[in-house]
Amino acid sequence: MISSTALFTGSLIVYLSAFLASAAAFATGSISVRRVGTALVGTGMLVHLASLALLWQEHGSFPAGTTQGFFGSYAIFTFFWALLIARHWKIENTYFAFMVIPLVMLVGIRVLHPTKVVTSTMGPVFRGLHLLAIVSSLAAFTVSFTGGLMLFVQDRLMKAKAFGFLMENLPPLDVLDEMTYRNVSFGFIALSLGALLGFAAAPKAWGASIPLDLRVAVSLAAWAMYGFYLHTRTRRGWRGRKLAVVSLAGFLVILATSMFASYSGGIHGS
Amino acid sequence: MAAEQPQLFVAGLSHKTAPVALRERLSPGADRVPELLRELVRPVAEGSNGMIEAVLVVTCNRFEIYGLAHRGPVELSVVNRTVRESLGVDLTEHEGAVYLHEGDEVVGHLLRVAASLDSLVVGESQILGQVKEAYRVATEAGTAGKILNRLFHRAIEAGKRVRTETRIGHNAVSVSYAAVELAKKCFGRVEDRKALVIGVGEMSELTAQHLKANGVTELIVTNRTLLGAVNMADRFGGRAIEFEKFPSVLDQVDIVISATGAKDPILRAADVEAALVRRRQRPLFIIDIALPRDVEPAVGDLPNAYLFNIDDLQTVADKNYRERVAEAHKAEELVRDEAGKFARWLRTLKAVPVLERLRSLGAQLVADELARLQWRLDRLEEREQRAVSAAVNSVVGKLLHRPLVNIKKLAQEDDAEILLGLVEDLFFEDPDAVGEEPAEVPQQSGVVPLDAASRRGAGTP
Repeated sequence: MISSTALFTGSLIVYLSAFLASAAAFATGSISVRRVGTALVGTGMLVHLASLALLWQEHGSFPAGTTQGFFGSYAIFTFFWALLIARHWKIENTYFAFMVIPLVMLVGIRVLHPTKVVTSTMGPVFRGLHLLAIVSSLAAFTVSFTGGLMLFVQDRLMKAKAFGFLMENLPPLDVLDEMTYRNVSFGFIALSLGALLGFAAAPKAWGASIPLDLRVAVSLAAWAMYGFYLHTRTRRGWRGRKLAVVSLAGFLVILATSMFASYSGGIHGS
Repeated sequence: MAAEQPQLFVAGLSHKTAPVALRERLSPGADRVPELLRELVRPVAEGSNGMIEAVLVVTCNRFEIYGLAHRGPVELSVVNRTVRESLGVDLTEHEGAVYLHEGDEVVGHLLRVAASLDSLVVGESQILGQVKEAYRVATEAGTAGKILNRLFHRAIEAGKRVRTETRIGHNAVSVSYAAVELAKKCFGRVEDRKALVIGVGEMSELTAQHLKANGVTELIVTNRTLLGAVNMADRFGGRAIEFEKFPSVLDQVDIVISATGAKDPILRAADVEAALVRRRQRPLFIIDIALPRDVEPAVGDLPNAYLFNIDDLQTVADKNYRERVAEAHKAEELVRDEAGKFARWLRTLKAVPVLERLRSLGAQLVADELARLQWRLDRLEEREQRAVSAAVNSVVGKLLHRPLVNIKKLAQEDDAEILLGLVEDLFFEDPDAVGEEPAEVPQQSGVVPLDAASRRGAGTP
């Protein structure tokens, strides 16, 4: 019988093909190539879901604590969310850019084989909701990060009056700004919810004093950064490149959290 | 034989051959076009070669009559007489400006026109709509028949393909339109945006026109002379404000177009910076088309202020035009492809008479044979008679099926006329050979005499 790892490898190959097709569509402006890319992403997600289902069967419960389970869920969420966002904001030609981070993570998992298992003491419902909230927030932050990065580049190009291919094909500044803001807002709510669920379940597992591991600490730092983003945007009227930098920094913190926590101890470690 | 067939032609003039003074005289007005079309296809005197189909494409850059001459090359006098009587222009006096294309050249020409490859500004989008409209008018006037119907459908298809499969119309090539395109890079779309126009010169008017056409909701116009601002505001449904007050509305607008004749900058960085604070850093897009410049260059360094001057716009327009020219090569390929499809379809039409004659021949053979056997068939029951009749029909039908399909297919080739001649020689009696001995040989032995084919130089199959 086919193993979950084999299916995961298969999905990775399909994702990479989708990335190449989407990048080619960006370079050529071909709508048909772009559709091929979208179809491949959809196929990749289905294969990937199948691999997670097998992993679930192998573990007896959903493997949220394994890197493959956690980042796999994150990648599927992100690919799907980015598809919706790209369609809604009519920026489908840049879809490949939204694939980069989850794809790098998946390739890293496949190559490095980190199979660390988190022993969770949370109940299945709490754990499921906690995971759903965290993964949703990560997906939204990934999309906002990519949007912020594109905004940063587009702003530089317009200021430098670099009327070339990139300026022509990157989305308009206002679209990127608004899209980034909405994703940060959504991600912030989801992250807050995830953190609250975590804190709500913590006393049962660890008693009154909750141990502060690296992931919790840096998550709180990221939460504060995104809070700062929303505050400056809504209260102080920051926009454009300045605000994009805050969103980029926030995501880099999140990224570091996720990567380091995979190799650290504490409540999210083994 | 070919000379007797209807022939496509286009007669007309365009921006490439005729000055605007002549082109404007050839503008009949939309309401007179149907009448002119019907006049063109009016039956002519016996012996003259009139038109049986006509479509008139009239734009500010071209006047073209697409027609189907009744037989062989068109007589330009027919066209000229109608144009002279209807529009008062004698085309013979402007021979250098008038062109005439016939046959396949017409197809290529119309397809290039619809694809905007023959336009003054290559890649402009209006011409496809104008070709569609010309065709619609001709259809309603009843002057577009089978051939021109097909030709215009093919042309419209080619035009659409060129617009969707190439980037020929992708970017602006005029300075004023480049400003609007740049604004879209800032805001995505300019609908629901507000614009401030400073100065009422030609360039600011053109840019305002493009902005309005792209859906800008409100135009605020200011000028040193308020009356000029009021006049322009009236033309665009905007509002005019006094010149001294314009810095105070910078926080209300998203786009600023400045084109005054001022010697010193009128829009200072401090004003823009203050406005950006008031507008909570929402982007401000500023176009400075004036020479000397109206806007302090330092404005471009402010975050969320995007400043472009006339040189920037010209750079964009030039770059876009170079891209269009490059795309035009791809478009030419598409046009050739579509023209080829039409030419193949047109050639299959030539096979229609031969195909019909072959079918008639088959039906006649069946009828003759059944008539010859009638005295024997009478002895059979009606059901058996029907079976025999069906069998004979089936044999002839099956025998003819493959040749008919192949003739239709081969008729699309360049040398279709040779093939069709060969088929005629094989299956039908040569009128020159009436009374000659081998006339009945094929029917008796099933062997087709090849002397007719060899006379045409087709050789032995």
